[in-house]
Order: sequence, then structure tokens, then C-alpha cells
Amino acid sequence: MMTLDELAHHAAAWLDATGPYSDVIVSSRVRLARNLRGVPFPHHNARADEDQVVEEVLNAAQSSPLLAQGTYFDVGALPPEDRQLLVERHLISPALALRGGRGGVLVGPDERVSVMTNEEDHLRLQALIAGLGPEAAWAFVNQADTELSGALDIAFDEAFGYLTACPTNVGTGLRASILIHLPGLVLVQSVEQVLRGINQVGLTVRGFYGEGTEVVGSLFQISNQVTLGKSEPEILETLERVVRQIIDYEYDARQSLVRDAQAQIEDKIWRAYGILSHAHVLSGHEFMNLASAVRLGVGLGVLKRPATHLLNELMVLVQPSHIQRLAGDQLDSDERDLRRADLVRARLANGASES
Amino acid sequence: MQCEQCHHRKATIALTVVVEDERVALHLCRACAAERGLGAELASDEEGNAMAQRSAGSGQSREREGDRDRCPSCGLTYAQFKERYRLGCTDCYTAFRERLKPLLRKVHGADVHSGKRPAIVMDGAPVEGVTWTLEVLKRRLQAAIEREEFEVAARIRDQIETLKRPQSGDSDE
Repeated sequence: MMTLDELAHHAAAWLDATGPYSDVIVSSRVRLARNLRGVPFPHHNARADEDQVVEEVLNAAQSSPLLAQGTYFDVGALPPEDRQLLVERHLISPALALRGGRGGVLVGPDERVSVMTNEEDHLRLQALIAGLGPEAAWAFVNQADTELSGALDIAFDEAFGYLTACPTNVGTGLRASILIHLPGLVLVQSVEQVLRGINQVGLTVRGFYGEGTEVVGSLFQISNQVTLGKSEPEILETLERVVRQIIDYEYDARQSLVRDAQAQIEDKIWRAYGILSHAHVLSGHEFMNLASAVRLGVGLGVLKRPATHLLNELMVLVQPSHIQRLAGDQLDSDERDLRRADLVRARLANGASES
Repeated sequence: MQCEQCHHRKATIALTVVVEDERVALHLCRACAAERGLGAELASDEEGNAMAQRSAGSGQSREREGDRDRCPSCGLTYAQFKERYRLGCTDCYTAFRERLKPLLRKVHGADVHSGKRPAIVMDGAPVEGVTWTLEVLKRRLQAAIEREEFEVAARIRDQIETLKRPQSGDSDE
């Protein structure tokens, strides 16, 4: 069992920057939508049915080696700031945080595998791992699905595959998302051009927190749109192939920046590092933009520190609910900006003495 | 009205998709509409509202024709599905199968699944080596009886009996 406090103080495994292409790819996520046969979908549902879903899922999880040690957070019973904490850790969707109801999330060890209940579908299983590795994430979530499904009556149709509340998820129920950092393409102003073409191969681009969220700190999520008619490995293979191309474009852009504007780029990076290391008031938005330049600096070898995993961890820790949880107090936005600056200064100073 | 895709922002755009001869109305916020590739076409919110009103005018006749088919399990009509773009339960896919096919082809370019299958398909035989908790089926049976869904209850009861037969005795729960 894990408390929200322990969760907030502990860095999730997907932030540790150990995976392939960690200089460009933050994480790979694969989620599966599953539903129980004969139980109405959550939006069309009575409270009794939602309770039944939670009970069955938690029961099934007891016999799943991946999830038996997990902790269940009942989102409906949590105050808004705690729901937000789970959103910030990418454990629940903003939609579930708003909806509340009888939904929740079962979080496995190291937050690698988790299962949302009563979101748009009865179950949303996800695996999150560091770096570029959609197949590795699929292996985890596939195992969790097999373990849970053995004890659940999962709705599956011979023709349509796994049945979901929204027809855009039917079939595999699989959505794979790669969180990718593209500061080079943003700086040379060709990111739109590079990403425009990907709709044609059944992929889509979203912001940092998924559907409908804005792009901050040059971070993009690239995910598949088609879920029916292609097998899971085919979907993941297409995604990985396209993401590798985008990585190449990003490296090209970085090279041309160094060639054509070395002094300006180095200046931008060092200024960003200077501000993050010394600021006393820091908004979340400012942090994301400066951290983006610092991450680029580390990737280019301009900066020897901080380590990429530290930047990843800060990306989560500086979010409003994490700042409050670490302070142990309710804070207004101005107070959070002070605490955020304190936290970033302290972590960067630690990171500097480690190297 | 709330956006039917994200369920939290205000819907300002009514999108009517024509899939073969079916019209599917979707109420979306700007962000979700943009995600569906409508960003460039939507010049302003006002234009979106105008579209919303036009589509509301033709709503009633579609409601009536949709009433003819209703999902027997959850009561959702096809017209309600077209309004919200969400199905009510897994049986809706059976109830609306033929009408969903062209829509799925439009969205996914296919209407037949290719990929993982569960180890156990409810209406098929249990696959060897897979743990199947009888408890789950028993609770499901109880729930179906409480909801007076006797056809569902009968199906579950048959499965319980199949599983209790000695040849599937390798189940460890």
C-alpha cells in the first residue's frame, strides 16, 4: 500500500531517463480500453453498476502478479487537489478527475502499470516507461490485461474486437503515445510541417496531458488514432517508425541550429540554466519553457548538468498539486511560484554537486 | 452543453458527419474539434454556434426515426448514439451492428478486428490453462437477476454449469 504522500515524494520509473533516445523521448505509454460485458458503460450507468466494476476489477487484481501489490485510489473520495496530483503523475486523465463518481485508479509498483476504473470505459489499463519503447510498454500492459482478463468477463466481439464506449477505440482498444521533446524543430519553425503529415498514417499529435491540451515546453504527444483492423504490433510498429523519423528531423534541426546560430543557441541555453538556478519566483509555464532549453543544452552537450532524469522529475514535481503536497500546505498561486523556485534551485544545486 | 468528447469544456461546435447515408451529430469544444482536424475550417465561435443552431432544427425528425431501433439491453436509441457519439453498453454493438460498420470503416478504414483476443470469449468454451473465477460469474448472475435481465442470467447460468463440469476442473479458483 502506498499513500498519496509517498507517491508525491517518490519519482515514477518512467521519469528515470534510462530508455532509448532519452535525450528526445521522455516516455512511451500504451493504454488499453476494456469493458465488462452486460454492464452499461460508465456515462450511461447507475452507481450500483460502477461499484460492481470497481469490486470486480480489484478482485481480479488480487490474482495478477503485476497488480496484486498495487494501491487503489478512489478518485471520487479525493478532494480536487489530490485528484490533480494523480493527473500530474499521468495516472488518471483530466476527465476522470473532473468526473469523480465511483472512478479510481489502481497503481502498480513504480507506477509502471496502472488501471483506471469507470473512466469512459470500465477499465483503462496503462503502462508507462522511460524513453522510446512502445513495444516494451505494450509487453507490460498486455501482461496486465491477460492477468486481469482471466478473472473478468471482458466484452469481446468476433468482428469488432474489444468493445468500447466510443467507436473510435473499438478493436484493439489500444492507444500508444510517445512524449517527445522537439525544441530544435520548434526553433527552426518546421515542427508544424513535420507533424502535419502524420495524420495520413493514422497518427495524431496532442499536448502534454493528452486530448485537447496545449503544447508546453516543446513537448508533444504522438499517438495512434486507428484502433480497428490493425493488430497491436502493426499499430506500434507504424508509430515507432514515424517517431524515429521525427527524431532524425529533430537531430537535423539541432545540427543546423549549432551550425547557423551557435552563439545564440548557447546563450539561450545558459540564460535558461541561469534563471532556473537562481530565480526566486517561477511560474509553472516559465519553468517548462526554461527546462526545455536546459534539456536541449544537455542533449547538445552544451551543459554537463543537470541529468535528464532530474529535469523529468522536476517536470512532475513543479506542478501545482505536487508543490502543495511537498509544502504540506494549501498555497495560492503566488506562494506556489516562490516554492517552485526554491525547489528548482535546490534540486539544480544538488544535481551540480553530484557531477 | 458539454463537449461530448472531453466532457468538460463547453461545446461550441456542432459537427455533422455524413457516413454513407447516416448523419451523425457531434457537439464539441474547439480543442476537440481541432483535434478532429477541423481547426483551420472553424474561423470563429460565432460560426460554430450558427452551425449548432442549424443542426438543432433537423434534430426532431432524426429522433423519431432512431426510436425504431433501441438497444434491448440498455435502451439507448441509435439517435441518442448519434447525438453523443457514445454507445450505452457492449450489447449496443450487436443492436446497431449494420449501421456501425460504415461508421467504423470511415473512422478506422476497417470494420473487422485483427489483433489480441481474450483467452475466454463469453459465448465460447473456456480456453485451457486460464483461471476463471466462478465467483465473478456468480455475482454477475445475481446482478442480472436483480436487474430482471433473464436472458443474460440464463447465459451466465449456462456458463457456470459448463465451468463446473469436471473437464474444466483445472481451474484453481
